[in-house]
Amino acid sequence: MSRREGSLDPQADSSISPLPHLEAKIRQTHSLARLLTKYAEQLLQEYVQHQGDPFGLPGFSPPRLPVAGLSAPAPGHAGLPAPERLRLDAAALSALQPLLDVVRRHQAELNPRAPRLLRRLEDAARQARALGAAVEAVLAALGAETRGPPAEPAAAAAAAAVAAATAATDAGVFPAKVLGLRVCGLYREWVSRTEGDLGQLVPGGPA
Amino acid sequence: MALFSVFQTTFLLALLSLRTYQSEVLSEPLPWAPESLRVFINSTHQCLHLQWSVHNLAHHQELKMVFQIEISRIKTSNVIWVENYSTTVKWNQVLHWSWESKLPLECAKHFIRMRSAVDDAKTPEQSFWSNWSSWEEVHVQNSLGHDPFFVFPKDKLVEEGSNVTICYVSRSQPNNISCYLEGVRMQGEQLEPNVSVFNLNHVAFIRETGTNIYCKGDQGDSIKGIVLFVSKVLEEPKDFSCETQDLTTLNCTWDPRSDTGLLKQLSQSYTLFESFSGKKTLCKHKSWCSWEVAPESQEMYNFTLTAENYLRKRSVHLLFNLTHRVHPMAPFSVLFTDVSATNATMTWKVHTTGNYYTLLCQVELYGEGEVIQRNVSVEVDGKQLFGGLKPDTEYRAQVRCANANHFWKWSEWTRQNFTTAEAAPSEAPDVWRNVKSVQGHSVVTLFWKPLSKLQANGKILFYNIVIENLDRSSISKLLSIPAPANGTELNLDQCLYQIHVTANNSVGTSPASVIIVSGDPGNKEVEEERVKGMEDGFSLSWKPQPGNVTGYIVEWCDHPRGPLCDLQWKSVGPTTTSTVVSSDAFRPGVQYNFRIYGISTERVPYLLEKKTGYSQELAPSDNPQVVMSNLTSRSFTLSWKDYSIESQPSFIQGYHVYLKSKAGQCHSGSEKAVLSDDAVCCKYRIDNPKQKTFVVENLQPESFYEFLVTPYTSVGEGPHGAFTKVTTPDEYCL
Repeated sequence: MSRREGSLDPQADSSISPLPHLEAKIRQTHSLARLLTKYAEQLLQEYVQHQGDPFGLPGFSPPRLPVAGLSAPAPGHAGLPAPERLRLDAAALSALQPLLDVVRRHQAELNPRAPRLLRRLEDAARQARALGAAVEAVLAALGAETRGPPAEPAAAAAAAAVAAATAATDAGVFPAKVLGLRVCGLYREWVSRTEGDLGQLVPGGPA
Repeated sequence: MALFSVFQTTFLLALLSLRTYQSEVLSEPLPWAPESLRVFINSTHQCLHLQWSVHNLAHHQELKMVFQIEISRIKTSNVIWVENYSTTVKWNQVLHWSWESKLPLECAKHFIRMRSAVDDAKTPEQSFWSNWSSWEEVHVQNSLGHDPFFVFPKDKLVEEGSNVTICYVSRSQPNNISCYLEGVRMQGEQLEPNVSVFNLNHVAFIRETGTNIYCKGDQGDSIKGIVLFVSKVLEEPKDFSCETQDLTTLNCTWDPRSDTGLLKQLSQSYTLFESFSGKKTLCKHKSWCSWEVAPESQEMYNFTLTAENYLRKRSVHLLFNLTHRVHPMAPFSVLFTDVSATNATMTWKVHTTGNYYTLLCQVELYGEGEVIQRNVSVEVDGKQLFGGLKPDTEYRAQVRCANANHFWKWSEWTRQNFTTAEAAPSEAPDVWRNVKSVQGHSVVTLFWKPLSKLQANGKILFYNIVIENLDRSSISKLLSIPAPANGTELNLDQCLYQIHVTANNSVGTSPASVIIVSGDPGNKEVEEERVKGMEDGFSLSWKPQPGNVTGYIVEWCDHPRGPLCDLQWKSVGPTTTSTVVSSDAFRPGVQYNFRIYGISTERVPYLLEKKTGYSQELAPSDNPQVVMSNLTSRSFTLSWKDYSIESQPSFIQGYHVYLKSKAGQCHSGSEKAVLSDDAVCCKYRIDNPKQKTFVVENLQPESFYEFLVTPYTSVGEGPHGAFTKVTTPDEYCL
C-alpha cells in the first residue's frame, strides 16, 4: 500500500473518504492554524521584549528541555501518517493550554503593566484549546481512532503542567522567565507544525 | 630568713596563681560562658541568626556581659568578622544576635563561635574572657539540588547604587562557566575551586521587572539565572504640608518623589504620626492623608510623616498651630442687588467654622478696560457696594478669602458676572448734511454717526428728527427713524430750517444735535487748492475765521467716482485749523475733494475752503483720442477736445507731442527725444492742460510722419503706444 506523505489517498486508507464537509473542516482548521501561527510569532516577540536582555538577543538560547513532558515536534514527525501527526498535534495543543495559563499568571505578577502581553497569553491559551479541539474534530471526521499512548485526562495533564511550572517559578524569577520563553516557543512550533500537517490534507495542497 | 623565703615563695605562688587566674584562658570554664549556641540561616536576607543562653545565673540575677563573636568563611582560620556584643543578661534568658553576609550564604561555608566576659564595674575581678565555644559550621550547599551548578542570590532586592555580590557554585571542577549581566559577560574571582564570585558595584536601576543575570556551562546545555531587583532609593518626602478648611479635618500633602515599587516590593507606604496625641494613621494615598481634628482639642500639632519600603525608612517632621493653617473654602452665593446704570451691591457668603474667625475677602471687578479691587473683613456674610460703573456694561466679579489673623492661603476664587442697567445716551450724535437744490426746493440728506458704546449707554433704538421752520416759527416735521439707520432724506422748501437730531435708547434721549439748513446754500465761490496726499491721509489746514465759530467740519466723499459718494465728514473744535483726514477707502489714482465748513454761532455752516488732491498720483494709463485735420504739405492740426483732465489718475500738467520723421530734423519749438525703443523723434511740449489742439508745422511735402500725443504729470507721462501715421501731400496737389 503506497503511503504518500500527508495525502488523503483512499487507496492508502480505506477508512478515510474525502467528503465535502470534511474538506471544508480541514480548510477551516488549516486557516485557523495559519492565523494562530502568525499570532504565536507575535506572542513570542512580545514576550521577549518584556523580559529584558538577554531574552530576545540572538546569542541567548536556553536548553530546549521538555516542559511537563511536552517537547517540540520530533524530527521524524513529518514522516508519520497524517492521522498520527494530527493526534500528536492535538495532544500538544491540549497540553499547551494550561502551560500558557501558568505563564500568563506569572507574567501578570512580573509585568502587570504589560496588558498587551497578558492579553496575548490569555488568547493563546484559549486558541490552543480551540485549535486542538478543531484538530480532534478533523480526526473524528477522518474516522481515525485514538491510538498510541493513552492520553491523560485533561485535568491530570493540567495539574502536571501546573506542578512543573510552579516548580520553575519556585526556583526563582529567572527560571520562570525561561519557562515562559520555552512555552511560547513550543506553542509557536506546534501551531506551525499543525498548520503544515493540515496543509498537506487540504485538497490541492502539497503532496 | 626561711620564714621570709616561705613568705616570699607563698607570695610568688599567690601572685602566680593570681596571674594565672587573670590570664585570658582559664584552666576552668567561666561559670557564665555562652551555651546552647544555635545558628539559624535566612538565605533570603543572607543572614545568620544566633541564639544562645548563659546558665548559672541566679534567679533574678542580672549581669552585664559582653560576648565576642567570630565568623569565619571557607575555613575556621579565615576570620572575616569579629564583633563585641554587650547586653544585660537575665536568668533564663535566650540571647539573640544577627549578622548579614555580603556574600550569599550558599557560596561558602561559614563558621561561628563566641566567648563571653562579665562587663560589670561591680565585679571587675570577673572581667576576663571565657573559653571559646566550638565552631558552629553553616553550610547551605548541602541542601542544594542536583543540578550541575547554581547561581546566588536568588531574586534579591537591593537599592540602586548599592554593591552586590553574585556567585555560582559548581558541582564539578574544573568548570567553564561564564556569567552575564543583561547579556554582557562579567569578570569574576575564584573563591574556591568550584565557586566564583562577581562583585557588582553601584548597581543601576534598569527596569521595574529586574535585571537578568545568568550563567551557562561551556556546552550551553545548562543555564541558570537570577533576577536582581534594583529599587530606586527611597527619598525623603518633599514639601510636606498640612492645612485645614474647616478646623475639623487636616489635609496633609507631600511630594512622594520616586516610586520604589517593583515586583519584589510594593510602592512605599506612608504613615502619619502625631506626637502630642500619640495617634498614628496609615495613609491610603501616596501623596496625601486626612487627619480628623478632635473638637476643642489641641491647637499645636507635631507630625512625623514616614515613608517606608522593604529596604528603608525616611521621615520628615512638621510642627504648626492649627489656626495658622486655615485655607478657607471658596465663598458662595455671590449675588448682585440694586444694580443700576452706575452702581451695584455685591453680597456673598463664607463657610463658617465652630469658632468664628474673621476672614479677609478680596473682591475684584473687571469691566471694559478697568479693574476695581476691594478688601473686606467678613465673619459670615460679605457685602461691597460699587459705584462709578459704566452703564450697559458687563462686569466680571470674583471674590476670595483668607484667614484675617494668621494668613495662610487664599481660598479659590468664586466668580459671577452682572450687567449694569442702561442710561440715556450721554452725547449728541455727530450730524452733517448734504443740500441739493432741485427745481425750487431742497433735497437735504442728513447723516449721523452711530454713538460709541460709551456714549450710547445702551442699545440705540431710534433717532428723532425735529424739523423746525425758522422762517415760520413752526415745527414742520417730526420723524422717528429706527436704528441702525445712519441718515435720512428730507424735502424742504427754500426756508431756513433748524433740525434737531437725537438718539434714543430704552431709558431716554441724548442731547440734541442742531444743524441749520438753508434752501440756498449761499456758498460763495471758493477757489480749489491742490493738496498732496501722504501715507496716512491728507493733511489739511485752513485759515482761522474772524468772528465766532463753534467749530469746523471737513467733508469729502470716500468714493467720489462711484454712484454713491459715501459722504464723510470730520468735526473739529473752533480753535483747530488743521487736521489729518484718513480713510481706509482712499485709493491711489483717485482724486478726492475736500470742503471745509465753519459753523457759526447760529449753527449755520459756511463753506470756507476747498481742497483737492490724490492720496497717490499715478501716471496716466492711456492717451487722448487725437483727431488730425487741416493736413497740408507743410502742416497738420491735432485736436483732442474730448479728453477730460478731471477724471485722470493724477493732475495733468500738459502734453507731449512726439513726431517721428525720416529726416529726423527737429525745428524750433521742439527738441530731440529718444524713445524707449531707441527711436529718435522730435518732442513738442504743451504746458497748458486745458489746451486741446496743436498745429504741427515745418513739415516737408510728400513726407511720411508719425505722431503721438500723451499727457504728462508730476509722476510721469502716458504710455508710448502706437504712433499715428500721416503722409503730407505733394505741395502742388489741391
